[in-house]
Amino acid sequence: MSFIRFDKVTKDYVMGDLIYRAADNISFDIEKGEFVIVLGPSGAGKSTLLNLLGGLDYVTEGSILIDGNDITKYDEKALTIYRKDSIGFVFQFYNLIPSLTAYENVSLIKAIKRDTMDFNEALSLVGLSEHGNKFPSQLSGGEQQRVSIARAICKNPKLLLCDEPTGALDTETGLMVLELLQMLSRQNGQTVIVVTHNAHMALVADRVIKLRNGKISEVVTNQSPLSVREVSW
Amino acid sequence: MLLRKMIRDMKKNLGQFISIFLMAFLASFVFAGINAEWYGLQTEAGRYYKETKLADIWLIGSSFNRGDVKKIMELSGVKDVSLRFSLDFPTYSNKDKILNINVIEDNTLSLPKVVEGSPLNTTEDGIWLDQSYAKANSLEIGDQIQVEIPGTIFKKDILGLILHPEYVYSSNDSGSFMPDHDNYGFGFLYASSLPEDLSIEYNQILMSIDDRSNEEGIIAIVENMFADRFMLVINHDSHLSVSSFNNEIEQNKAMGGVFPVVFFLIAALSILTTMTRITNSQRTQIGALKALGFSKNKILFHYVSYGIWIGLLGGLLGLITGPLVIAPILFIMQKSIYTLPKWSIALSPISYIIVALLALSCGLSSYLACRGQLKEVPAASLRPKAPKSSSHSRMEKSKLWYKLSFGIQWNLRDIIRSRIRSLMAIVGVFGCTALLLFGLGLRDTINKVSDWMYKDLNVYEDKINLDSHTFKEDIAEVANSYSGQWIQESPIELKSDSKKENGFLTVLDDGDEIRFEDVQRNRISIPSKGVGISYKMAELLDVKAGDNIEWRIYGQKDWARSEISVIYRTPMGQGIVINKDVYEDFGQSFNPTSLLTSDRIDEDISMKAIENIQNKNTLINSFNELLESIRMIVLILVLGAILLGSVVLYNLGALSFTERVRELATLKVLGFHPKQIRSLLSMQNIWLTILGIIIGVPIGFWLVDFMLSTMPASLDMRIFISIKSVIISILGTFIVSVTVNSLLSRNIRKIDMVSALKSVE
Ligand SMILES: Nc1ncnc2c1ncn2[C@@H]1O[C@H](COP(=O)(O)OP(=O)(O)OP(=O)(O)O)[C@@H](O)[C@H]1O
Ligand SMILES: [Mg+2]
Repeated sequence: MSFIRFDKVTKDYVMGDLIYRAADNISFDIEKGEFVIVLGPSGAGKSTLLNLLGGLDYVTEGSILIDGNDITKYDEKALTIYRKDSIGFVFQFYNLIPSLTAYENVSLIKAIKRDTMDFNEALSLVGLSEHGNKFPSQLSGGEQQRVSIARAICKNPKLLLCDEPTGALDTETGLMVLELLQMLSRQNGQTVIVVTHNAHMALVADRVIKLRNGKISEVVTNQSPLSVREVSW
Repeated sequence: MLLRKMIRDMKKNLGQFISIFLMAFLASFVFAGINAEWYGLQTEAGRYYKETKLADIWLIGSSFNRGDVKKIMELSGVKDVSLRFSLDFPTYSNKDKILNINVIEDNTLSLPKVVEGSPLNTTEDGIWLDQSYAKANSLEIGDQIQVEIPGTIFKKDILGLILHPEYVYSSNDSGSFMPDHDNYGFGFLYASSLPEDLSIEYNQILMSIDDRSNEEGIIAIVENMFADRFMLVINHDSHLSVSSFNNEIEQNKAMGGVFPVVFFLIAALSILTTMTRITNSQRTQIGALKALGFSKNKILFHYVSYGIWIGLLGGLLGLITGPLVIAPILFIMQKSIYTLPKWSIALSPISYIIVALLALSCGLSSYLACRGQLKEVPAASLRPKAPKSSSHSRMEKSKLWYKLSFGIQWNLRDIIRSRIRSLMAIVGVFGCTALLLFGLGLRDTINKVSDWMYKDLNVYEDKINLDSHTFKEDIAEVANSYSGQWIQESPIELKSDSKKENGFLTVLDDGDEIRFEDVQRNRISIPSKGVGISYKMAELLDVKAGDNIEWRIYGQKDWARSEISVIYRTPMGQGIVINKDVYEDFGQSFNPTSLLTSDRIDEDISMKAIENIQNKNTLINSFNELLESIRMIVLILVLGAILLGSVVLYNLGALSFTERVRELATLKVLGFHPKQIRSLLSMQNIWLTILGIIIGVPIGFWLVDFMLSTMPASLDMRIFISIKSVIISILGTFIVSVTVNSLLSRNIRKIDMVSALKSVE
């Protein structure tokens, strides 16, 4: 059985009398260690899908199996543990804590988890070992995003979820971040799922999931993905 | 359009604006309430004194006559002069009850105010009686009472019930400060209605003068004029009733000034933080307004008006309700001590000024909050605000910092980053602790005074007061029946090199019915050399042990000079104590005024020498009455404290919560359990609470001390706050803090991670 299985997942948003279906009967599989890109126009349901996978929101119907466990059956407490142990999240707006330095933003994980990566190692992995003492406001956007990646991976998560991590960055910096994510997947065998608007990135992924109007329009598996550098040239 | 925007903004930040409103309201509520009370008393007393033509100066002596009146009348600056006979007599029917009998002629000064019955009239035959005394003894107009004047006893009909401006505070006893209307009252009658064969000697001259500022000069002239006679001069400052009542007013004035300050401060600070937050979140709106062509000043004025409106509305509501709620509550207590014809509230102009100040300072706070915002370059407002440079303080460079847990780091930085918010929390907490401690401490202190006075110092059971006109044989009758300690108590004048005061002399015969303690409350005895002086009197005269003082009994001519051998402390009746032998060495004869005894005495006993018998329990009971009324004040203080603490902490907690909601959502996403987040939030709360308490406890002590310092000179209360009260204040503050915190942290569960993190605000 696959590492991740979406099985007929439906998500409705209820707004008063209106019901909006943001995910409509979605099913797909993802294998361990894959680098997955989620593509789709705005409002297609990409974030919805990632949030469901990350245990931030509840499905309306269907099940999501991670390593054989159905997380849609989890209660709040179990979901918290699931997020803590299994998930690393990276957002478009880095969501660092402004009053903590880069290093402190990463090392705060020790408050909830024991078996973490060494925090300095996590920072040097994202190329920021020199900047640990800076506050988020003293870092560039790309650097901030890399801190938030370091924070996500130092938990040793089963699954790294990135919702438009390059959305607020310029092209060059965005590419650097994507390269980093691909490297994590290739070298560390980390399962990474990235939502992006950059259609070219379809070429670098092991698997591409395309969404439209809350439905899957296409799932492509790539036998020989390119590296990010190659695509950007 | 801007007005509508303001109302919408206020609705959006309802919690914060309500709490600012509440603080502004409370500040003016308390201030105006107390102000209306003391100003009302002052106004009412002024009117009463004027209506009854209260004298300015009293000469107490003997054998005054019309010639003296005429002589004084001729002095420049003297407006009016009257003669009066006034003396305390036991009522014939009951030896314990004392009536101060006043005989007047066609007097114009210090007239009684008739509240019931026939108006004053020189031709009427009868007595006008103290209304409170009549009430306490169920006497009515038309009843007959017996009056005793040296030489005769006669009966008079009660013509009317009266109040008198010299008896606003009516007490004949230095050992109790609650009036005892049941046993002490006064009556007025005209000389023409006295029995034909009785001739009385006037012993008082009452004077009114044109200008109070000439008082000293006139007193000096009069003293000189009667230099050959024994005479005591009293003015408003030394008149028991007038000065006690003035003291009361001063005391309330002082109290009314202190408390609102905390609320005032909180209101201004709350505005500052709230407005900073609002203008912060409305950067784009401000930009849009600018683009629409609104001038910078207009925008600034728009935000400043938030503060002014809130301050004004809260202040005005307080101004209206404070006098209606607080003043009557304070009146309840005062009515048990003072007698006034009318109790009314009156706002002094200061109250209106305070409300205006309140609105202005709220406006100023919002001005300070927005000024920075308007100056900022638009580009800078896009990035999250950089922490101030002090964020990397020396503390953080130390090794220790890295050892601290994330929660401590986070909270420490947050406190440093939002200094005003933290400061406010501390002010709110210490206000809460200090008010609680003040209320409870006041109660403790007064409770303690009762024990101190009636259990530790005055160990006797009964005090048998002797008639001042008795013969030795009559006293012997008492001495044969009861055993105890004889004492002589006399009012005296005291003088040091620089100061002059009035007080009491106590001459002690052998015995152990009355005890003394030094300043540290260790028991001491009065040495057989020199005099002991009470602590408060020593302070008033600015003397210490080893110094010399001079003293003389009222009406005597020569001053005695004594060395102070010891300083003792007593809550009531300040003066000096001397042993009988030392006293007699001055050539004085010991004339006992009371016998202190531990025997239980039958109250109805009747002996010639006995004027009345005071049982200690009666005194303790009247003290407890005072405590009863203090309870009301304690309740108000406790409620105020809780309200202050919870409003401030809730407001700040909500503020901090909305400011950090994004960070909290992030932590949730990372897998922090709500319980963990809650303890992170409460950590800061607990630190600030502890800090506030540490500051609040000494301030509470100081408040009690301050309150005691405004007490009349004859009282020397020592601050006493029990450990229990301290613990209750601290625990109470903690409970408020923890309750508010748990109310707030319920919201953590409700944080919607997805929407909280969706976009940059
Ligand atoms: N809380 C919500 N309530 C109602 N509708 C919602 C809610 N969240 C999302 N939606 C709707 O669900 C749809 C999918 O939203 P989602 O955020 O997943 O889109 P997306 O693919 O991530 O778009 P984008 O690329 O713009 O981020 C959208 O049409 C959106 O309007
Ligand atoms: Mg999205």
